[in-house]
Amino acid sequence: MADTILSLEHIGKKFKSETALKDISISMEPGEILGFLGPSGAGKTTTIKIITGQLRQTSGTAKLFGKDTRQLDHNLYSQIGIVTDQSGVYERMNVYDNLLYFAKILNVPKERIEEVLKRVGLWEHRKKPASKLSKGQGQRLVLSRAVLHQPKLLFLDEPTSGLDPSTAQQIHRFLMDLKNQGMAIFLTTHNMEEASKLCDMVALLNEGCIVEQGEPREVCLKYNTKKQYRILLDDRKEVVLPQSEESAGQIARWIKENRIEAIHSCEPTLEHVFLAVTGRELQS
Amino acid sequence: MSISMRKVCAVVWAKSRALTDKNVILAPLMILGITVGLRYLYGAMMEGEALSPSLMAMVLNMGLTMNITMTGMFVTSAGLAEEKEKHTLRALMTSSVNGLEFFLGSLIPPFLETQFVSILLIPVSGLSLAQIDLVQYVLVTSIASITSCILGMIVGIFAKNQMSASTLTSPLIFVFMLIPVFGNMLPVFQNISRFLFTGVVSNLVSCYANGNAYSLGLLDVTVLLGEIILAVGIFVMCYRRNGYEVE
Repeated sequence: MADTILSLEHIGKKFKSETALKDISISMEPGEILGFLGPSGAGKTTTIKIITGQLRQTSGTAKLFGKDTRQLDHNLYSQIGIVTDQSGVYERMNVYDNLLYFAKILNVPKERIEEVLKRVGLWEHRKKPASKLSKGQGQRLVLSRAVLHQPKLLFLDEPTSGLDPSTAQQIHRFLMDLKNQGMAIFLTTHNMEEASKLCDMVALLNEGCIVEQGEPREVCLKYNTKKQYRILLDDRKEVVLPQSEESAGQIARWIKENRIEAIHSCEPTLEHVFLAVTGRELQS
Repeated sequence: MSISMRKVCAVVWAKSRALTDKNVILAPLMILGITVGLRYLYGAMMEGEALSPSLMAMVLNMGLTMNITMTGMFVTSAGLAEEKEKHTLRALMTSSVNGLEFFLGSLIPPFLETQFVSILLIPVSGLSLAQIDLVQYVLVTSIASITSCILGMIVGIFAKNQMSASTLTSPLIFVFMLIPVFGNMLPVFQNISRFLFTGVVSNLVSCYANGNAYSLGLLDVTVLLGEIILAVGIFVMCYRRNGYEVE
């Protein structure tokens, strides 16, 4: 447990009469990507604010690098990076100076600015005022600022929300590089596909509670109670077969006859698991 | 709360750059322009005769109180409000800059700008530097400028954006600028003016214009130091209660 960089134990948060978080318990190790998944209003941003000392929990204990977040020293912020939709940039400064400002604050050598800007594909835009950047470029600037000082833990709140697929992919590749360098990433998203692709562990959050957590594949397999296979045949007919001896024989025959165009197992995705455990599909 | 000079200098660097923004630079330029305009307006009224020192003092008074209140208060409050409006304040505060470092870094550039303009206003108003005890002038205007900047920071805490900073600063500017300026005309304003930090500055300038050396009385010292301490106290109280953002 010495390597645990973040631990939350029974965190609860109330805003007057409204309960935002009921009972959140998780922990994180270095180099791990934890996906904190849930719909808008589930309590994802509130959790980040509690961990980073911007909000105080009503109950429970949150520890960052072994220190209670209620007594966070400002210097501890030099070990974390934060990207939220509330992370603004200095619009009148150019891209390079936006990073130079934080490099001065965090005592980061100037060479690192060039390295980060090249990595996120903003080096050629370094002289452009931040106000002239597109949404994707702005998001990459915020991300490069958050990792400029090579923090041990990076908080990302919906990092690819509203971005085009190509920019989102670029950001995903960057995040995987950071993970491989040993950076832990706390990722909140409602994009289950993104979570499946990036996360080592996921926690599904609904109405302030973690309703399921574990490795994405394990979580999905846990709910794979009705095993079946979806098959697309050469005549464009799609059939779904349950797992059985009879189906195995049928599939073997189609393979011999070279009739199968595509075949997929039908284990649930994180999205299906979420819908199953929250019962929300019954309401829709 | 500890202070890292490196972080203070970084904030000063960023805030100094913001001073050259067209919206911000307008205030000192306008003040210098108005002072020059007033000097020539009074000159025209004198029908060719030289401007008397008391008229020059009125010109300097107007420019000086405008500068201390408008530049000092508005620039700091608008700067803080803009950080909130553009969501950069939270990025700063979660990048290991603490409240005190941000406070000092935000205060130093507008204070230096205000002081620079205050000194520049002496020749602009037409008063001779020989008539002024420069050390005393710099000391008194410095204390007044710092007080004004701190008041600006207090307003900034409550302002959600630059527009509301401007709205909230206006009544304070009127009180601290107009009462000393009209103190020469209305006795009631003169009485109130004695208890304002801008009033002390105004008295100082009037005294220089009359060719007298100005000695700071007990009331002046009490007003200058009392109001700066009061401003710091109010700021600390507001900061402890709300941080830099009233949610």
